[in-house]
Order: sequence, then structure tokens, then C-alpha cells
Amino acid sequence: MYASLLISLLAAFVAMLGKQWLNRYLRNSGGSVIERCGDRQRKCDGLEKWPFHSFVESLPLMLQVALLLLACGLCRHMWSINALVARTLISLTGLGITFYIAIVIAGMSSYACPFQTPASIALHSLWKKVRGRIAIVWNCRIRRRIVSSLVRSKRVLSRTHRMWKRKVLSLLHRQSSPTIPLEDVQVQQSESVSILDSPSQPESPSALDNAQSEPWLKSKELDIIRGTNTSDARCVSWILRNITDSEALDAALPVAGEIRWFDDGVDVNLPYDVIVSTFEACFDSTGTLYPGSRDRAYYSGRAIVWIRTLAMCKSEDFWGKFRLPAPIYTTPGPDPDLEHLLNAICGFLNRSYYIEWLLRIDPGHTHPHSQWISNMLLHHSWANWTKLDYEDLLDCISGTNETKSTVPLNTILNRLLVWCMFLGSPVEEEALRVQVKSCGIPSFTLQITHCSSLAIA
Amino acid sequence: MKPILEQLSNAVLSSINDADGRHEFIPYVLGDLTKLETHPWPLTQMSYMWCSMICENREIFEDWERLPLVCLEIGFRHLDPGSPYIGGATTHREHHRGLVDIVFNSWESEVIADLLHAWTASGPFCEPAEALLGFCAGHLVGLHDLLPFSSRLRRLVMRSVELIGCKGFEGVGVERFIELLNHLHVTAEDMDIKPRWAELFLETFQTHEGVQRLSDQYLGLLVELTISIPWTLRHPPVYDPQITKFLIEAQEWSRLEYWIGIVWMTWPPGAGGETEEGLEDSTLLLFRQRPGAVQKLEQCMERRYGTHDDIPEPFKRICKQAHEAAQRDAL
Repeated sequence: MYASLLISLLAAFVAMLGKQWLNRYLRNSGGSVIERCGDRQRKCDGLEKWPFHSFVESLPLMLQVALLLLACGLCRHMWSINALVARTLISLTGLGITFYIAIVIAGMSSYACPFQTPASIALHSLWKKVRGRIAIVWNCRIRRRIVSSLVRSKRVLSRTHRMWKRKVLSLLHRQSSPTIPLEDVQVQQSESVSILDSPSQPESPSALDNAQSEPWLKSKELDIIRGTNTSDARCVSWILRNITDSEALDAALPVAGEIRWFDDGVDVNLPYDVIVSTFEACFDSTGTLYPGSRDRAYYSGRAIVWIRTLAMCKSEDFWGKFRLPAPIYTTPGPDPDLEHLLNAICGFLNRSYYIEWLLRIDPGHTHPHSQWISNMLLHHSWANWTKLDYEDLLDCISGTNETKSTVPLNTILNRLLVWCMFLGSPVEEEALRVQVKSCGIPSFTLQITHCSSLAIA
Repeated sequence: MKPILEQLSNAVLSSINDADGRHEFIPYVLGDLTKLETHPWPLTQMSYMWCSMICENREIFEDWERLPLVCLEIGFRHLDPGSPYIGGATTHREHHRGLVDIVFNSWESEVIADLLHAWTASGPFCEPAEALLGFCAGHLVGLHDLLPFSSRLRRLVMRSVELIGCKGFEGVGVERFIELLNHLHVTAEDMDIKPRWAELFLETFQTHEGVQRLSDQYLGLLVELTISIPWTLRHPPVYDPQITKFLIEAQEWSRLEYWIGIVWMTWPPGAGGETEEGLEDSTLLLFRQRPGAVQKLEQCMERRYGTHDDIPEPFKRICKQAHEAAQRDAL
């Protein structure tokens, strides 16, 4: 009974502590909307990293234990006073325990069962682990048997192959050139092949030959990019779904057009419907932009095109699941970036036209827009490069490249990757993840300049 | 950036080799590369390699003549014409020779400058293409009549002339070469390798056309070069006494003044007996005609040898005679 009392008090103490922790979580750190959202997301991630939910979940568990101890203590105490009352209490306690065990078993048997308790969740996960371990052991034994039988058969085959090869070669050798040893014939053959091949191979300069192809991203960098992406996705999804404040929305929409929503680890409910409705709400019934809604329309439109392009990269039929707003929107005044974007939303209906739209460099576009377009072009080409007919592409792109204006470096680098694909060289998926592809320039240039200066010295 | 350029270069080369139609994207690729603001070194070597590949496989392109010019623009337009050094490894191939005609027939001074930059550049991974530059000699001598020289083109033509040398222009006519030199107005600051220029001026001046037509400016420059360059490290051209005789007969005293100074500093008597007698007589004749030349030449010789004691004895003796004659005349 005393233990029950102590556990109850301990539960009250932990509950008060939890309240304190939640107050700290709700405290506003100041800054812009996107900073506050980032801060909230960091705290939210912290709650998951440090098992805050375990503390909260432990409160009812403690109370349950306290109740059980109280019931046991009460029964024992009452047994010494009045056996009849004690028996009634014992039967009631037994009923309660049976009910609890039934609830735990029900919760463990099905995840959809509403009677979930911490014990049922723990037992469920334990059961899953045990089942998985049994399956692994079972599979390993079977696989080991299959592999060992395959290895045995391969050895037999290779032995037979070697034996036959030796016989055939010795037969040929005897018939063709009995004076030259077999090894020499093989060397001569390999030399003649290399001499014949050499003229068709272009001579590469030594610097290029020596430069080993480095991976686009190291695994650590990839993990960081993925982690940031996941965090951003959760943050932006939460804002778009839960916040009605216009400042927060305007801050989240540009980020929504950069997040890789379908990456591994991003398990958020994609707020595509919210983005589309936000885009549609920027225009009146005739499709004319409301005053003051330009940025929101632009960034929500960018997010729409981006999400559909990412979906296209994922699979052929996946992107069709994301509906497009009706293509009837117009801008009240000259706005090259927004007009270009609205054309893109129409252009999704026609792939060839879309490529042409993406490839065209318009000097009227702002640099961030040009860069975003080049990123779209890269993703779109990556998703479709095996399907696109290069002759159709040539028809599409004639006249798209006439401007002589300078273009931001990152835009050009994205386009160069696209040209690689059009020229028949596939691009690795990691290349799509690297936002700033020019980051290698200064160090490399400096390195070479340093080399030159040393040589000159 | 580096992996992108490497992949692009391989893609361009394989598309040219395969000639499966994808090479038709190359003009668009080059078009994008001309818009780059930052040009890393690998781009220079890649674009130069593409030039050769395009020239080699010209028949697969519809408008192939434009493409090497764009490649040169990508690789070399951004480089500083004042410095011959580049970090890229430009490998000169036989097919690059095909660039001469298409570049010079384009009549575009900047394109010509690109080509000259490609062939005159040197660095840790490349050498100037002196053999290829020799094919440009015929085009270079007439260039100033056809095109206005931009400062970049002028600088690169000078560097090309420096590398080709006087002998490289003999086939196209020394007279035209001297016209080009006089048009260029080369100064000491324009020279990358001064001994080469000194040799070039000496050789040019010792030709029949050079002694008559080479600008006095270059004779003054040659005096300065001769003072500053230690000839012991190099092999000057052979002295031709006919040049001195011609200048005396033509009574070109100011040019003779420069020339006598150059001869005393370049071929000082003692090294060969041939110059000794004729040179002393010619010097005495010059001093008689132009008494002011004595002091000038003495100063030059002092600058050349560092101290008065190191000046060759015959020269000191002639100067002494000239001073005594001047004193006698004054009395």
C-alpha cells in the first residue's frame, strides 16, 4: 500500500516535470517565421531523439502499477479483518486484471484495435522481432543450402569448361602454327586488337586521365542532405497543413518547391492539395491574379511543377496522380518569371513542348528563376532521357539557345548535365541532389593556379 | 564542376566518334559554354581537344567551320593575353593545322587571337606549338592591312612573331615581315622572351630589306636589349660586315651610331679577327662624322660591362683618339 502511495506521488511528480518541459517546448524563440518554424522542428525532433514520449507513456503505467499494488495491499489487509469482504475484493481485482490482460492481448493482435496500451505495443514489437529473427534463421538455412549447391555445380561446370577449352585450343594450335607457342599467339592477338582499336579512341590529355572520377557525394554528405531534407519536409508539411498565418505560408511555399518529397526517409503527408488550393486561391474566377498575390502564386506554382517533376523521376505513372490546376491563369502586367511558370503548368500536357520551354534561355528572367528552370530541366531530362527521341529534341531546341547574355554558373552546369544525357551519357542520381554544382571551382582553379605558379617559379 | 566537365567532354568525344546523330547537340553545348562566367583550366584543354576532333571528323557536321571557332572562344577568350602561361594541358595534334585556314578566313580578330593564344601558350603541362605557328606566318604578315588590331590581337601577334622568329617569315618575304614589325610598335614591356626578340631584330636588320626599312625605334630597342642581355648565355647570329659598309655608303649616320654600338656589344673584337679592323675604322669614321656619338657609346659600353675597366681595350683606344681629335679641333 505504501509502495502504491509512493508510485502515485512519483507519477504526480513526473507529470509536473512533463508540464515544465512542455512549457519550454512552447516558448517562442523569436526571429522570422521560417526561423521559428525551424526552431519548432528542431524541438520536435529533439522530443523524438530523447524519448520524451516514454516519460509521458510511463505515467499511466505507474498509475496502473500503483492501482494493482493498492488492490493487492487492500485485499491482504482486509483478509485479516473480514474474509468475506476480502474475497469480494479479490474477485473484483481478478476481474480487473483479466480485463486488462484481455485488452493487452487484443491490442497486441491488431494494430487497428482501439484498446492500445503501452504493454500491448511493447509486446507487439517484441513479437515482430521474434518472428523476424525466426524468419531470418529459416531463410538463411535454406539460402545456405541453395548457395552451396550452386557453388558445387559451378565448380563442376568450370572444370568441364576448362578441360574442353584446353582441348580445343591445343587442337587449333596444332593445326594453325605448330612452331609458335600458344601463349605467344594469345599475346599477338591481344596486341593486334589494341592497335586496331587505338585510332578510334580519342586521345585524352594527361590531366583528365589522371583525374579519377570522384563520387558526386560522399555517404556522410548524402546523409546530411537527406537529414536536412527530411527535417524540412516535416517542417513545411506541418506549416502548410496547420498554420493559416499568411506570413508563415509565404515562407514555407518557396521551400516546398525545393524539398525532395519522395526521398527515402521522408514519411510526411505531402501537402500537394494545400499547395494547389493556395495557387488557385491567388486567382479570381476569370483566372486573373489578385493584387498582392504574385509571390504566393509564383512559389506555389513552382512547388506544383517541382512535385510533379519529382514524381516523374520516381516512376512513369506516379506523376499522373498529382492533378494540375486548370491552365487558364493570366498575369495582369509583364512578369516574365510568372508567365514562364504558368506556361509550364500548361506545358506539362505536352512533353516535347515542356522540354523546349525548359531549354529556352530568356534574358528577361531573373537569375534565381533561370537556375530553378535549369534544375527542372535536369530532373525532367533525367526522368525521361531514355524515352526522348533525340531527333524530336533537336527539332524542339532549334533556336532556344540564341541569347548571348551571361547566365549564372549553376544554371549552365545543370544544363551541361542535360547535354551529357542528350549526348548519350547517363547522369548519376546523386548529381541531382547537389544543389550548388559549382562548389568545386574555386578550390580546383586555385590548385591549378598554384601548380602553375610553382612551375613558373 | 570537375566531374561535370569530365563527363561532358567524354560525352562530346564519344558522340563525335559514334556519329550516331547525337553530335548535332554539340553546337548547343558549345553555345551554353560560351555563356560561362568562370572558366576552369580543364575547359581550355577540353575545348582545344574538341577542336581537333571536330576538324578530324568534319564531314559529320553540317556547319563544321563555326564549331572550332566557338571551341577556341570557350577555351581561350577569357585568358589574359598579357601572360603566356596556362594551367591546362593543351595537346597539339596534326588536325589542329586545319584551324589555320578557317580561323584566318573568318576575318574575326578575336577568333584569330584565340588561335594564336592556343598556339603560343605555355605552362607546366603544355608547350607552344611553334611548328603550327609557322603555318600562320603567311596570314600574319598581311593581317594589319585587313583588320584593325585590338590590343589583345596585337599582343598575341607579337608573341607569335617572337616564337616564329625571322627565319619563319623568310618564305613569305622579309619585306612584308618588316612592315608587320613596324606596324606592331613592339616595346620592351611587350616582350616575353627578350633574347628571342634581340636575335630576331639582329637577324632582320642584317637582311637587305631590314637594313633599309626596319624602324629606328627597333634599333634603339635593340641597343637596350643588347645592354641588358648576357650574350654569353645565347648564340647571336653571325656578324655581317656588309651592313656596316652599306650604312656608311648610304651615310645613314644615326642608324650607324646604333649599329656600331650594337656590334661593339654583341661581337666585341677579340672573339673573331674579321670584325676587328673594319669595325675600328668604321667607328673612327662615325666619331668623325658625329662627335656626340662618342659619349653615348661610352655610356652604353659602361652599362653593358658594368665598369670602365672591363670595356674592351680597342674601344677605349678609339674613344681616346676621338677625344684627342676633338680637343685638337677645339684648339
